[in-house]
Amino acid sequence: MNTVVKCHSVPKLLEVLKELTDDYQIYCPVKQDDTETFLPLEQIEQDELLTVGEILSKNEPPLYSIKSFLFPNSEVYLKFRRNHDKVDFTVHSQQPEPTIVIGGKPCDVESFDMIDKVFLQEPVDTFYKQKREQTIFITSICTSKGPNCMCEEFGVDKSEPKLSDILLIESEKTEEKSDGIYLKGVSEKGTKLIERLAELDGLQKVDNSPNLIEDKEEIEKLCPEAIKDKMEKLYDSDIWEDLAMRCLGCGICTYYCPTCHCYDINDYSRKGEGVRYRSWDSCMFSDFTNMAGGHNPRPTKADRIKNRFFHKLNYFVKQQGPLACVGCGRCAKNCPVGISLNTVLQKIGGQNNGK
Amino acid sequence: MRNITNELREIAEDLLESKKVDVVLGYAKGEQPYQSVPFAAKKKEDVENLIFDIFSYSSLSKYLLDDMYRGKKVALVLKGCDYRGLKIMLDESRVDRDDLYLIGVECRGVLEKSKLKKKIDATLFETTLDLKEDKLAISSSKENVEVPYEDVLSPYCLACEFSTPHKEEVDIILGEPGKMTNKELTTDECFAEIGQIEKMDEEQRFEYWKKQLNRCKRCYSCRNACPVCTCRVCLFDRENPSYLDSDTSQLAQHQFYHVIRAFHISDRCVGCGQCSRVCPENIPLHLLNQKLIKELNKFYGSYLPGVDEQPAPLSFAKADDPDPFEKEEK
Ligand code: SF4
Ligand code: SF4
Ligand code: SF4
Ligand code: SF4
Ligand code: SF4
Repeated sequence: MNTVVKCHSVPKLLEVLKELTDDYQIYCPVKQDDTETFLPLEQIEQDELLTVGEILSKNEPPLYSIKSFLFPNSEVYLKFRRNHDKVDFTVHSQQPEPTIVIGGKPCDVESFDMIDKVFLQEPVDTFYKQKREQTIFITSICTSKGPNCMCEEFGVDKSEPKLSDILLIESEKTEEKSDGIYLKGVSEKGTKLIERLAELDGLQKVDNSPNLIEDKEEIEKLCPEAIKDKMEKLYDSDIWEDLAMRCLGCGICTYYCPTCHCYDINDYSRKGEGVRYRSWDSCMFSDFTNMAGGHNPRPTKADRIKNRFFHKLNYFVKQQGPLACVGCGRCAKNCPVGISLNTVLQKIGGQNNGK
Repeated sequence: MRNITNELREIAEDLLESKKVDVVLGYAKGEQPYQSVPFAAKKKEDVENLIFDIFSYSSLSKYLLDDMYRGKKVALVLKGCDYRGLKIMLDESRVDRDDLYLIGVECRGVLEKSKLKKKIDATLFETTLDLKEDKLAISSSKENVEVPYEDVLSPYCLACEFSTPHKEEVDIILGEPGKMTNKELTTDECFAEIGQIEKMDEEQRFEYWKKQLNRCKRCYSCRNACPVCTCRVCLFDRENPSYLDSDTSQLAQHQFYHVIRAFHISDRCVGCGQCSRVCPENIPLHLLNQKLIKELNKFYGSYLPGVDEQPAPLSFAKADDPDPFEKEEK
């Protein structure tokens, strides 16, 4: 059976967790300047604690996905230094610190299923793997779907995501009273942490967490194979050019998408020493496929948009099985010109025909 | 606004049917509530999607530089600020006026969604808007409020001095002149935060911008949406030499990007407000731009890019130009 602890409110929970900051880096989402952002727990001011609770109880993902905790925007691989007529290299291996990330949503943790398929396959991405092992995700579950949410269509269980370590369940609020916050251990490392939390003042072990999910709405899942085939027929369609006519070619859809995982490798050097690092890249940038010599196999915006959606809805299915989308709706919410995964799903005959 | 939409559809149909243009570039309804997105109508059946409303933000002229539009005859919907952006491109011979059919609109300003959201305790998915003569009525299942337009209009629109393109310069003007609000606000009042930031000491100011810019993801949406960021190869995209490190977690790199961009557009910014609007991290880029404009106006006299005919203040020098760095150097 799962171990469950209970706490009476989010600010209280955060206060208790502060006792663990010697052993863990702890991050949670907070609202600053009207913008949701993840910050280390100790940097969050007292008056901002309430906004953490607000974000956790929304049935909508926070602005930024949690993938950057396992796959940072930039990270160093190698260090090098000129040593007379030679160059000395050292592999920059830094054992990541144990980390707790609070506030991802079910769609967010399930996105690691796709990234695992890419980064944990041979050759294993050790940087990602180490962080994957060292990080505990406390996922705040959803009781209904937000306006842009399509998790269930993409096979994500919004109340019981498989890949989370701990589930954060807020008991149903009446007018002003809330019965409390429940933390339920799911994975091995999550359960271990819960056992430890149970020892702390302010948290108490309880038998079970409330079951908040009323009768589940039956949403039919999209069938990856069927979608893949429908995409195949769209290869030469005009829709890519139509979308390209309004796309800005910016990095929003890829940087905010929890399943996008492309990166570029660069060097930075000054005065005979430097580092080689990787940093996020976006297939929507015109220089993404630019080669030495100037040839660009995806020269137009239409080529690039087509590639992005083919990767999500066709290539990934062929190579790995699932669709490379968890239906978080961030693309819909953030794209300045209203291009989202749903835009393309609708074009290929709507969800209903995609079964 | 509704009549602009209808007029626009008629014109567009006519232009496409008579093959005067290949594309009518305007706006259509987006998937999100109160979202208007750029839309290219290419055939008669597309025309019914065209709309123009108070959420028609994007400056469409920038698209003309894209290969997809090259060599095509394009009709373009232009608000006042959009026309200014296009004018700069025309003056720089970036586009050919003969390839364009310009549809000017009498613009009364656009609403800022972020301000709307603050006015009501619900998501925009649940609200309906009613444009009244002097106030905007916002209602949801939870509450109904009426707000004066000056509370929800874009600050740029409140400060706008050129809301409709000149009649002689466009092919047609749609709509009727008028304003949403009669309240006369000075630019300083429209961008009151600048005054607050000016009052900070250097360290506070640095902390303020540090906190804001630390959120930047360098998605470059602000640059890509800007109608006056029109360099053929942007400095920040150059690979050899590369001026900007692609490490996207470094504050110094964000600062470099934003300060350089702010300077590059300081005497070009036409005040469409799109850079701040597209930023997913709500970084107040308008404060940065507007501050530079304020300083330029102070040093070199008032200048409206894309309206005034004299050369842009930073594109030429006079012997008696003020040199703010002079003192420091000696
Ligand atoms: S997509 Fe599903 S899991 Fe994600 S926030 Fe929305 S309801 Fe929750
Ligand atoms: S689809 Fe939207 S978010 Fe993505 S590059 Fe185009 S404009 Fe940017
Ligand atoms: S494609 Fe869009 S909906 Fe799907 S995971 Fe990415 S951001 Fe979320
Ligand atoms: S749009 Fe915002 S996040 Fe993106 S580069 Fe500009 S300031 Fe940074
Ligand atoms: S800098 Fe911003 S406000 Fe000025 S023209 Fe560019 S996008 Fe518009």
